[in-house]
Parts: sequence; structure tokens; C-alpha cells
Amino acid sequence: MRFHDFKAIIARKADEHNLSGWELYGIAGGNIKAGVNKEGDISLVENESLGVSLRVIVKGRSGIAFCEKLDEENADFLIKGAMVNAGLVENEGHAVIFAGAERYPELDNWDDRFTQREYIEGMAREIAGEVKALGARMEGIYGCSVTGTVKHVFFANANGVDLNHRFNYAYGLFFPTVSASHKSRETHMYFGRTKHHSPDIKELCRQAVATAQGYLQAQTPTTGTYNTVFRNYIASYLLQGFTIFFCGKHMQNGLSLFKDRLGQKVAAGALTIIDDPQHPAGLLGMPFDAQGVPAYPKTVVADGVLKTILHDLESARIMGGTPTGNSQRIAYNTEYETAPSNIYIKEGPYSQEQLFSMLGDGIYITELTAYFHGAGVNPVSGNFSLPAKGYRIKGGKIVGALELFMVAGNYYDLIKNIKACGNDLYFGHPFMLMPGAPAEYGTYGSPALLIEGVSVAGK
Amino acid sequence: MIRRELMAEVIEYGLKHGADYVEFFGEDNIKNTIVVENGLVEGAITGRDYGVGLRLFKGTNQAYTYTSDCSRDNLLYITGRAAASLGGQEGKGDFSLHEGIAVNKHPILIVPSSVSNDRKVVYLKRIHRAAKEYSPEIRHVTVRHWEMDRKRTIATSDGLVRTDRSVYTRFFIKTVASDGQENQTGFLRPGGLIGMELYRQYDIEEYARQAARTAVTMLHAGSAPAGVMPVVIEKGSGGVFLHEAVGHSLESSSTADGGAIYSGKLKQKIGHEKFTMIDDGTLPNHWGSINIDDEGIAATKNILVEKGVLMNYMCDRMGARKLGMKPTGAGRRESYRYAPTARMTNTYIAPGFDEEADIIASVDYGLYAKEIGGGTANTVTSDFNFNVLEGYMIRNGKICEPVRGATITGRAVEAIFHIDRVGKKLDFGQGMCGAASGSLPVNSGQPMIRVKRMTVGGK
Repeated sequence: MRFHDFKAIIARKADEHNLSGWELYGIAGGNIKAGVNKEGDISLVENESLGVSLRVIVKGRSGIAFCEKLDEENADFLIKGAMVNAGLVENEGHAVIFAGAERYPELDNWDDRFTQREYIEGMAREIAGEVKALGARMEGIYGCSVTGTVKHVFFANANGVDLNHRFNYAYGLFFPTVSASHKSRETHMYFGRTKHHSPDIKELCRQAVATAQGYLQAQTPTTGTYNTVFRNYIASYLLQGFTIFFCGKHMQNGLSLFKDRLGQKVAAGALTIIDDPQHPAGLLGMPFDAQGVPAYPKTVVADGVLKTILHDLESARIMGGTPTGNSQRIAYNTEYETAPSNIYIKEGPYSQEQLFSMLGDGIYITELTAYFHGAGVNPVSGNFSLPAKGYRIKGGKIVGALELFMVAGNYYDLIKNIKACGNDLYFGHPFMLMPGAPAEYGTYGSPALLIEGVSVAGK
Repeated sequence: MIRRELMAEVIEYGLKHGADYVEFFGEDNIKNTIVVENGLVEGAITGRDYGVGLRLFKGTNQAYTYTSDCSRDNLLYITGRAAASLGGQEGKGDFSLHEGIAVNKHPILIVPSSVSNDRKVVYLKRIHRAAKEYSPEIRHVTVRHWEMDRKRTIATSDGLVRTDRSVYTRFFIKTVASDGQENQTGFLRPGGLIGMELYRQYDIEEYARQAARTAVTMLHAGSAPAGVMPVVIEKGSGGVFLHEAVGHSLESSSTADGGAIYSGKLKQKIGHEKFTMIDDGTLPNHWGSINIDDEGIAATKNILVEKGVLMNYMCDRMGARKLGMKPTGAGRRESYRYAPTARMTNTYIAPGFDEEADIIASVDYGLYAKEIGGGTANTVTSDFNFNVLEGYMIRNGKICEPVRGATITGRAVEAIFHIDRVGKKLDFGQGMCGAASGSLPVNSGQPMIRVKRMTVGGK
């Protein structure tokens, strides 16, 4: 059964139960994932799925139910389950169904190539071949993979809002490993490809293998406080850690220290952050959010000043703000959250050489692990402690590789110590695409960042 | 779930069109979550995931596909596409299915779906009240109930047909302490392959007070130091150390291709003689336990390391095929949307002979990691890290001031030779592990241990 027909059944059953507030959200889609092992063998995963969720609102309180089969029986399951859940809720009742909008952005982010197995396999083989030619191999529990993803999002509600949008993208993640003298070192590289944005895969492979080769000679730095430059896609992981500070739901629960700071300086003047559902390099381009609200670009932080809180309908109502089209769900069967779409730190004017020159002596951070909420990052306190790798910078030049150290601090302080931004914006690996990672919705981008006063734990 | 005749038809189709092994995995999964925030039910979500995953082998290549459309036509279609990706050579379809009944070693006394949500809310509010009343500095408490009733049907071209029903129950407590200038958190999340009797098995108010105590203690804690020092890791949640440092590196998904740090090292000494490590999926009603894995193979007690000597890996079917070993009942997946890979169940360091008081007294200056959060692992280099949720300095053999914000890192090939004290009392901590086959319930355990040198990433 198609979404359109299922919606009609839901509407009928909602009438039978005197439900005036309901919202049906569905995602149909699939992936083609080509994995390559070190022998160059391809393993393939192809899939398709469809799931829907129903949110009902009774006296301002919402309950949610979801399922994967669209038929009369499951329509009853959804209605009953959502109503029971709404009856359980005890909060003040701020939930609303969107009344609708006159206009929605127009987005063309569909590329037929991302649906073709041969194209996806071809990219995977290209990476494997390039890495091998450079003298490295693929290892790691995630290996090397390229995935083409298709999503068709449907939305309908009791107020007659009826939307759908189809989009797709491809992304790759690979772990080139090099060995010498019984020692192995690896790095990871991620790229995202949209209709309007295609990173140079060969160049990415070259950079990744060169980075891994550097690590073979790595030393451990002395414990201390250092000025640093974070590589662009590594800096994007930092952004994934602290974006939650700007989210309305997090603020309304008292979990962000920025709750009453709208219009105030919260970060360094070098920092401007934009959330843009239409960014050409952002994978998650959508004209509406999970509640049917139009999604437009917005400046979250401008020159260090908090300009916009990311709101859904409820957090806007509770906090006296305006919905910003930032109600998101990672999947049809997950909870609603306020989260960005494609959020990024705005580029500055500086090349890598200029940033190194400004740095003088310090550390160039090229690798971070444990950047997930719950591992090395606490999204409530802002504390982070992250294993890292990188390169020592002396007099503005790379003089040696570094490993087995950690960078630590608090994100509320870190964003005040960003002194300069590079001219190399890159959208890094979004955690929501990593199986099992605790993650918020969104893709995250950053240029390289010059950050002063970072605590380093080494020897 | 799915008719046996249809499963047989799909398997036969796969064998005849290119595969030498076909595995049919059907899943019908009902989940329910209730969230209490600041004393009120804030949200509830209920739903059903239903679909089929098909895995095909040809030698050591595999193809995987999944769908929520379980019609005959679609299942045959996607099987054909998967077989074609393996070369599509015509083969024989000789096999017959024999149904077996796995012994249920994990009795469920009270299935959560048979208990009203109102009753569950009573428990959650008791937990909330106890946490909130611990201190006026506790500003926010979130308590979450989660249940899953998972029905699986697995059929393979080896002739195996198995069905299984697994019921999980878990509650999460998150506390936030604040002084108006900063926030700190406490976090506990017990659970099991168990029913609602979980809430009677634990002193839930005491758990709530523990979570609150952690948040308040950390609010008044200084920063953890940075550098290399001895670390005493408490029993229970401290098992995350083992999980990250060694566990992933012994999964055949890492070792079978020869690139992981412990590949090819069976019967070699890889750790201190006090170090014995076991993965046991048979422990009654434990969080990581299973009757059968997601490949239809019965759970086992697997002695992985005995007195420092590597004895075995955790093997899934493909890993066993590559290594020439037997599967160990370790093939697990989050849902039908993932191909199974070798994963941990209940993994622990076997108790030793050291008294806990003596372990603490043995440290002149170091860190006591009382409560551990999450972490990550690199199976190629054996780099690992984990986050300390609650830590204390040890000075002159005594536990002293609390410290916060530390992640601990190391390299397992060194660290497990540095485990030189192992306590007598074993305990477990429950978590979710994310890897290539999705997010899974895993139990990680250990007695109190001392690791004589690790890198602490504080300030």
C-alpha cells in the first residue's frame, strides 16, 4: 500500500476516534553499500524499506507509534498506540500540529547515479585501487565502503499539510593502513557526494595515505597546554559535539548554558555558524522538517554572537521563539529532537600555510576518536577528552608526527578560543551514519580552525 | 512469521543462482519507550519493526539485502539481485529444512507488554523522586523505560530452522547537577534479557541516589590530571576497558582478514598471567545473553584468553569460514537491516585473588576510575579509549578528591601486560555497543583491577 492510501485510512480512523490533531510521517528508501576488503573483493548490501510513524495530539500532549507494514491492521495499531501514549503524557501540553505554510523552498538534490550499483561499486573500486597504488591497504572493522542512499520523505497532517520530497546522496568511508618495520598505522577519510558537490577522491586518497605514513614515525608529545590547528574535517567533529548547545529542546530542559544568551556573545569573534538545509555539500537537504515546517538557511552564531536558537514547534512555543524548521528524526522509529540539517562553521580567509604561520609553534590535530556523545564528549557539561593524532608545528612548519595523546577541555571554553578559520570548508563524517553511534541528526562542516590553549595529555 | 515453504523457496532460489550458502532472517520486533522528565511523563513511543534480511555466501564473498516488503515476489527478486552480485552462476538447490527448538535459558517472569504503562510510570517516578530528593543541586532528572520483545526466525541452507523470542527491559537514569554556572551529569542504565522483574531485582531508589551522587560529586570536582599514571578501574562498568581494549580485536570480523592486532596469534601470550577473559552468552538473564545468535547458533561460554594466552576468537559464520574454525554463537545484528558479524555478549575478566583494599593501597599516585562511560577501539593498532564518568585521585594508597573530565587511552598490546592486580568480586555494567552490524546490548564486566600505566587525558 502506498503512503497516500495509508494516509486516507489514518484520516478516516482519526475521525472515528474524534482525533483532530494527527501527523503522519514516513520514509521510504534504500541503500546500496559496496564494501572492499584488502584483497579488493567487493561485498554488497542492497536494501529497501518503508516505515511510518503517527503522532497524535490530545489536549496538547503527543504520543507516537510506528510500524513498517501499511495496512488496515497496522493503521489500527498506530492509532491505538499513539492515543494510549498521548494519554500517558503529563506535561503542560504544548504540542501542536503545524497549520501549514504558503511556500516551501525548492530543492533539486536527486542524482540518478547514486541509485546505480555499478556507480557505487565503481567508486569503491577507485578508492581501493588508488590506496593500493599508493602503497597502503584497507583495514579496520568498518573497512572501506561507499554507500548510495535514497530517501523519499512523506508528511501529512490533520490540517491538510501534504508534503513529500525525494533526495539522495553517496558517501564513502575508508581506513588506509600502512606498515613498516612491524608497525602499522592507519587514518580514516570520509567524503560525501551530492548532485552539486563531488570531492576529488584521488586527492583525498593521497592525503589520507600521506597522513598515515607520517604516523609511522610518530612520537608522543609532552603533556601541556598548546596552541593548535584542527584539520577541517576533524574540526567538524568538534562542531558535532557542541551544536547541541544551540538546540531549543536542550535549552528548555536547562541542559544548555546558552538558554538566556540570545543576542549575547558566546564565542570568539572568528566564529560564525550557519545551518543551511540547502547547502550544496550537505547530504541532508530537505525543504521541510519532521513537523512539516519549511526549512530555510539561518545564521546560528554570527561573529561570536548567538543569533538563532534551533526550534521545533514545541520548543518555540515554550521558549517564546519562532519555529526554525529544525524538528528532526534520524529515522521514522526514533524520537523527535531539535537538531540542525547541514550546519557548518563559516570559512575564513586563511590558507593552511597562513594558519600554520599564525600558529608558530603548536600541534596540528589530524585525528580524533571517541568524539561521540557518551564516549569522549559530555553534551551537558561540555567536557571533552579525546584521543588524538597529529603533527608538531615549529616555526609554522610540520616537523614530525605525534600520537598516543589526548586533547581535553570544555566546549564552552573552546569556542571562545577559536582565533582564526581556514578557507577549506569540509563536511566531515556525520555520526548518524555510523552504525550504533549515539548521534544527533545532521551533517556538520568546518574549515581548519586555529584554537589556542588546548590541554594535551601525553607523556 | 514467514511460511516455512516460502523460506525454503527463497533459499533454494539463492542456491540455484550463485550462492553456496543462504541465510534467511525474519524479525518481528515490538518496542516501547516511556520518558519521565522532571517528575512528569514527557513522552511515549511504541512501535513495530518487521522485515527480512537475506545473506548469501560464495566462498568468502558475501552479499546482503533486506526489505520490509515480505511478499514472495519481492523476496525472490531481491534474492536474485544479491545472487547476481556474487557472480550469478547456476548452482544446485539441494537442501531441506529441519526445525529445531532451542532451550530457553532465560525465563521471563513478567513480559513488559502484559503490564500497563501506568504501572511502569510508577516505577519511573519512584526513581525520579529518589534522584531529585538527593540534593537541591540536582536540577534535572530524566528517567527512561525501554522494552523490546524480539521474535526471530532463522533458516539456512545448512538445513537449520530456529525461532526465538527475546524480551529485554532496561531503565536509564540521567541526572544533571548545576550551580548555575556549569552542569555535570550522572548516568546509570541497568537492564537485562529479562522482564519487568528487573524493577524488583534492583533497589531502584538506591540506583537513583547513586546517579544523583555522581552528578553532585562531579559538580564539585576539579579537573582530572593529564599524563601517564597507574589507574585502578572499579568492577562493573569498568568492564568497558576490556570491551574496548581487547574485545573488538578478538571478533572474527576483525581477525579473519589478518589485519587485526591479534590476527594469527592463537596460543601466544598476549597479556599478564593474571588476565583471563571470557565471553559467555549463556549467563542467565544477563543483558548480553542470548539463546541463539542471529545466525541460529546456540550461545556458548568462550574462554578467549587464559592466564594471558590467547585461546580463541569470537567467530561468526563468515569468520569461521575464513579462519577454518567453528562458529561460536557470536553472530549478532541489531536488526534485519544489518548483516550479522561476530560481536560480544557478556564479556568479562575472570576474578582473581587480590583484595580491593590492597589494590587501592598499592598506588602512590594515580586515578581511581569508579564509573565508566563509553569508548572506542582500533583493532589494527589496538589503540583504545574510554570515558571516566566519575573519578578520584589516589594519593599514598588512599582515595582522595574527586576529579572529572577524563578519557583514558592506551594500546592494548601494552595495557593488558600491565594488569597486575585483579580483585575477587566480579560485577557487570550494561551498555550498547555500536559496530558494523549495528547497536547491540552488551554486558561488560570485571573485578576491580589495577593497570600500572595508562594515559589519562585530563587538563
